[in-house]
Amino acid sequence: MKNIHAAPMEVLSAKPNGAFATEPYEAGWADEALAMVYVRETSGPAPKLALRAQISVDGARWFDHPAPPLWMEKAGGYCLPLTHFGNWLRLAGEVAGGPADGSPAFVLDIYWVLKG
Amino acid sequence: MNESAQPFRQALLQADPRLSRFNPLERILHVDDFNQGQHGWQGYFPDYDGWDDYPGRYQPVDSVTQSLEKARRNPQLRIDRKLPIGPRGVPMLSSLTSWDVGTAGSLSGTYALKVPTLPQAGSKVFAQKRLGSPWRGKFRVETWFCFKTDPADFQLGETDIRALYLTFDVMDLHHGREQGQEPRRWWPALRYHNAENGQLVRRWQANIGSEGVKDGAWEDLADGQQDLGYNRAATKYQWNYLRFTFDLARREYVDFHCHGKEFNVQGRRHEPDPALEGWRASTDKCPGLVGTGFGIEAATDKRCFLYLDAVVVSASEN
Repeated sequence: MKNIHAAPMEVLSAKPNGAFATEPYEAGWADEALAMVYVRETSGPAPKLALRAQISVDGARWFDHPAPPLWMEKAGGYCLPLTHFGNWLRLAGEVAGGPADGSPAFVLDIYWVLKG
Repeated sequence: MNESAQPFRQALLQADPRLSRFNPLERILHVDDFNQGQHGWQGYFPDYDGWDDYPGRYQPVDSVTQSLEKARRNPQLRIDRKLPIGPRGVPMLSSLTSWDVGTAGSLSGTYALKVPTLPQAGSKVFAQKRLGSPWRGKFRVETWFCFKTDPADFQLGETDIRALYLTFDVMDLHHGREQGQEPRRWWPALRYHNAENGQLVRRWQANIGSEGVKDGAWEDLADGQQDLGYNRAATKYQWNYLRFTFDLARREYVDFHCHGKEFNVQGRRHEPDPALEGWRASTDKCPGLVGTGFGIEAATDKRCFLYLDAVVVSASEN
């Protein structure tokens, strides 16, 4: 039987305009990794979030995985499926179009769901 | 156990490559080998009932909304009350992989359980599992562990780790009431105070607190000084053995051993001052719980990692 593991990387996380990255996560045991994102709320004139999977050989030097990024503009569920990611994983986000006063453009939950 | 069976059992354990490096009591409850999976060791999340208030809600605990409100109002809230919103350090299976040697693997295979802090001074993260035992004699937890900081800056980082934790939230079974014994709750817990203000401290402590098993207060063990193996590079992992035993019936510490040193804890009790009161003292809904946490705390804005190679939990009938 395979192992499965859901890792709650961020829950009820508030993201203003700007860049962020989730904490590094090791998933070398898994054959597949699915980033599952629930956008709970959005605010601001034209909120947009681009989320990319990044990989690393050592947990320190990160670069983009070739999988296409997720684009989010409204509340709902989104997923980013990955294979051939090695061991270290993280998600790098870029938020724009949120409130100019620095308050959150997105409130979201981010999970890794791993299987292997 | 039958006395003549004891040497035979001992010989079997010592010949078993998986268990020979442990010393379990007569009933082995769990052998959590992290080469097989995460075995349910997960992050800490406080008690709650309901997203919002609702009729008939279990009042002693907050709803998620109440909990959120408290966490937003008070960022210094105790770890066992604070709802972890935003980024968290979550326990994971690590292959101990770094830039220089690649995958070091764990002590007994490829994977260890890693408990990471956030890159934030004071960040304290636990891997948590709700254990228990139908045998209400001694209860023993053993592991092989090591601890490091994030090697991204290539620095040793030993003084960036404030403390390591092994904590227990222990509650009596309820049928003792039939003999007129009111069930009790107590918190046997150990803390390795590794460093403070950039200086190594390296002293074991025991919990004497009444506010939460993970937050102390902590009392130094008289013989608690111990230099644990850390090794001489940020990416060199050195493992230490730990065994801690307490008595569920007598509510007292039995023994504590860490990598070659036996500490004098026999007969120690958790006598919180002030005493646990009201809800804090209650065993309601959790009779027989042995809530177990392995934790690590950062002293600086750098990620700190506790690695466990395996966890063996055992109990005795008396």
